[in-house]
Amino acid sequence: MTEQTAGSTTRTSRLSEQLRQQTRPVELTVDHLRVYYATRSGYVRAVDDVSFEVRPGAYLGIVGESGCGKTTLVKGIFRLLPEDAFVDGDVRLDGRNVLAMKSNELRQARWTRMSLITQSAMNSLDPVYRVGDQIVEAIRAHWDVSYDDAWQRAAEMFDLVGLAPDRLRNYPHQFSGGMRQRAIIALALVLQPGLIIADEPTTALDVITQDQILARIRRIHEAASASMILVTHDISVIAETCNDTAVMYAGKIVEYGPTIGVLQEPCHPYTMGLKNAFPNIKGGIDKLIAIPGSPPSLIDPPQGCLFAERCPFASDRCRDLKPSLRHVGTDHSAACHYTDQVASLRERAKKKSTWDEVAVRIGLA
Amino acid sequence: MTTRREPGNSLDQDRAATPAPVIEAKGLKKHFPVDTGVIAALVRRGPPRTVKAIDGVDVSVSSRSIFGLVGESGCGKSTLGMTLVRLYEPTAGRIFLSGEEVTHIHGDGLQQFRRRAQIIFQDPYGSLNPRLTVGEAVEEPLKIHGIGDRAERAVRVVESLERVNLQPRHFLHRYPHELSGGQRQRAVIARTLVLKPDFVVADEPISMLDVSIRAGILDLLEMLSKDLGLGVLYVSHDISTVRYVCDRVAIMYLGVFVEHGETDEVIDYPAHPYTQALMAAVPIADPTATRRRVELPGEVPTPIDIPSGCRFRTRCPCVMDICSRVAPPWQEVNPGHHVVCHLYQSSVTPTRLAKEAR
Amino acid sequence: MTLLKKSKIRRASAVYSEDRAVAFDPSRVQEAMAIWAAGRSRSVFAPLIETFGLLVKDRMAVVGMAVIATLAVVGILGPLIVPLHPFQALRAPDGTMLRLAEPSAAHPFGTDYFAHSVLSQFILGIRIAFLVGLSAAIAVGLISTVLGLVSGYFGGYLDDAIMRLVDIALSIPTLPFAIVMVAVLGPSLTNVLFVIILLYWRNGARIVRSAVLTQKQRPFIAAARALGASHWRIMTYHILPNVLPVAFLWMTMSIAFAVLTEASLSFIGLGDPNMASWGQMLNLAFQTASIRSAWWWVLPPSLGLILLISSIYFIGRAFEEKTNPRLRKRAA
Repeated sequence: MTEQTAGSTTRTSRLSEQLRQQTRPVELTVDHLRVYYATRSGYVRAVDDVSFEVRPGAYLGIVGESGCGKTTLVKGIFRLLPEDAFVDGDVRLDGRNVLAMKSNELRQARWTRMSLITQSAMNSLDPVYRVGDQIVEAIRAHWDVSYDDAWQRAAEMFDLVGLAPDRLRNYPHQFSGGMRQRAIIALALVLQPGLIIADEPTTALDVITQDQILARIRRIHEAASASMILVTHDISVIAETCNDTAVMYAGKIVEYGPTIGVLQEPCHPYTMGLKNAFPNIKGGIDKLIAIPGSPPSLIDPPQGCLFAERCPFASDRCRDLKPSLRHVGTDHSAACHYTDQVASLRERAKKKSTWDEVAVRIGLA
Repeated sequence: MTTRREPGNSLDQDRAATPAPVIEAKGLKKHFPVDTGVIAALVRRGPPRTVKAIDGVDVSVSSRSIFGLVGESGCGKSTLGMTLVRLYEPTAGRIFLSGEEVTHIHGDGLQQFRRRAQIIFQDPYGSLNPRLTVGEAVEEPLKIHGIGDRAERAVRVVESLERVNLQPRHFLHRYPHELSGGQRQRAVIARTLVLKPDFVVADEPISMLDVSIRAGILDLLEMLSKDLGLGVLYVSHDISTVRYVCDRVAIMYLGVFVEHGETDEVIDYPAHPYTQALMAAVPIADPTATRRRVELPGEVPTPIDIPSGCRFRTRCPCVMDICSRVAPPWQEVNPGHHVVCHLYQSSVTPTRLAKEAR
Repeated sequence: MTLLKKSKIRRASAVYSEDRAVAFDPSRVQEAMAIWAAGRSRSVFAPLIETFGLLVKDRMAVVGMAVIATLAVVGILGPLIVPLHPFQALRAPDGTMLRLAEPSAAHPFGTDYFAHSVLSQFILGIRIAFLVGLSAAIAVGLISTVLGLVSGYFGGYLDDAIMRLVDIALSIPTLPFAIVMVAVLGPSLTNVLFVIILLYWRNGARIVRSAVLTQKQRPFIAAARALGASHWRIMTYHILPNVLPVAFLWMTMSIAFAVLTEASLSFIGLGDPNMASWGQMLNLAFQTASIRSAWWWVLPPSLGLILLISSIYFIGRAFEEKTNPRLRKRAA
């Protein structure tokens, strides 16, 4: 790659060396986090009692559909929620509760300890300043370094994400969508945060660009030994990049475990359905099967399991009683009452007729 | 790059075997002027610049089949779809619907054409007028074309909604904002169906929908083609879904097709270096699978200044001397599987091919 | 060339003339009609009605509407309450002309230099203000909606032509143009109205056009085109209802501009000499050098203007807040 070679001769700056020695991956613990939004018709339980842990250096994928609360969860961790949102629970970065931080402490933590890459961030570069100056400004806001040192650090970051360092002199409009997204990643990583959260970082991009960016992020994760969270709706992206996977549905984590376990031997019917619905370039399944119906209202959620309405295996017990996450293997847990019958459920979930029955049950066919 | 069989001269047999195309385009071009306006015309030097969104495409879609059109954003695939249903006026080339030329028809002829050729857009949220109920939206095309009286229209709308699995009793009087994304896209398809068209362009119909319900919409497309006998052009950037619904597929790059053939053949044995890179970039939803990645250098050139010779040469990992000088002709690498690339031309010695291709 | 086109059309319609519609199932008519009849249906012009509903919730807009309603009632019923003719010269009991009399029980607003009742003139002024304001607003609203719609929807050369015309119109200085025009055409109410319409269509057309451009980008417009909807149908059925609130806002504002312009022209002596508008009253007060002494002559028309104009602005502001989501969010 031409862009790659262009800057590889850049010497590692003093600043970078210093950063490298200082940083280590961060441990993130989310404990019983709830985020409710007040609306005219009641509280929207966007994130409802979510707990998970990202061990230092781990790579967690959070997969879910639109409206499942995955973006709210990320905003909750970063405390980027609107003022009127009701937040409860703990978010701890290396043991320090983010939700209790004072504003200057939080500001410092947001770039240096954890950083966020979002889909919409692509358009968040200021069009009237050179991209390089914006990165330099971010560095100098947190570290007391000279302009030249900061610029050199920015050049190294551009090199890392596969952009030619002389592109720092360009304005955002001179970049394509993919290049802008890379610049944003460079910006997010420039202070060497110990935790990187990427929320749908490649959704708006083409496959080839997506592939290149995901590969970069993966390389950065390995090189910087930072902890990572990748939030996406795309199972295949998770399958290729993440060590662990959390599946979210209607504001809750319904399945959690090592990626191979979750995707090869799903224990929650929703995960099984999602797998059926997801096309694979290699073929494999003859037919894609949709999950009938749509997610429940988060304002007035049903009393029992939130997936019960769309679940082919739901019983009266499911409709009355909310299942909690239970262990189904080492590190692997699922929120389903019937995890003991998982092998037979998995077999039945592969048949289209199983899901057609749901469509009939809820009156869609 | 595997050529499983020797390229044969079976083009004619191939044509005889396939059913008559419902829509066919020959040498189709659509160029958009870049700097319009009086002042731009005055200050400009040289000929006016144009964006060559489609730059010479031959395509034919037969009835009862789904033709996939794959490419990256900006490759011209949406423009091609919109030009085929005459939402854009073609710059050059000819379009035929069931053998009749429709390239420049207008007035009554165009109105009749609109009845037979339809398009489904990507955005189900925007494709329905928020002020109209589902029933009114589905009825609108019948009103536009003056079909039937009140009673006949009522029946046709109800039947159309039933076809797309939206129970009329529940959905006829709902407004778009009361529907989920999938239901909206179903309503859009019902609106398309009510005119009983022969050809439908589905422009990224599922890319804005949730993963768990996409399959339902793809099933509907299949129903359109197989049960109702329509020819469908499925435009998508998502190769994985193309595999599930399309009979044939074409890969588009910078305004032209670079490869086309039967879907499984093209996906399993991609011949053009661009197709190979595209296939290699698709992530696999299997955590145990590994794939060989191909990294393409640089960015897609602008469709204003298209590279000489082969359009892909600026990013091609197998580029040769000839590529910048001569535009490659179509080659048949396998029966029905065509590609434009010098690598497959017997007269060209693949200098770097041996090393690069595996 | 025309011959060729015609033959093309004929050929095309000949090809498609066979009826393609598959016969429908008449046995389902009853069932289908029942489903259709079961639901509600809204007018496509609902946006305007909705906006009115929101308007009532704004306190200042309600005040404005109340003031305007009161003025309207007084204007309509005035001649019944105050039967004195506005130009009838009043005399004191001793037979002398009742010039510049202070307000009294007999003449609550006093009299002017010409011994005319100020109250009667004030009421006549209301009627003229409404006449000028409403007719100008309707004309301006119509012209700017039609031009904005056509210009925004069709674009291209037509848009260029209309917008360059707007540019030229915008470069005309308002008051000097009005003065010269009325001076040339002669001071009459029709001419004053004509000049006002000539001045205020320009901004309206541009505002409506930009609203149309936004609406035109919405995918359902392209969808309607693909279904074969005519330009007329798309413009009136799909676009117009959504730009009406914007056009209506501009109409409201034009009432205020028109009344003010008429008052200004009258004040400098270019009003209709046969119509005692508020501006005319102020003009006469000024000319007879009574503007400092006869406060009862000056105050009613001035206050009338301020009340009417500010009421319209109150409504306009509320209207804008309700129709512009960005302002609505800030207010919430």
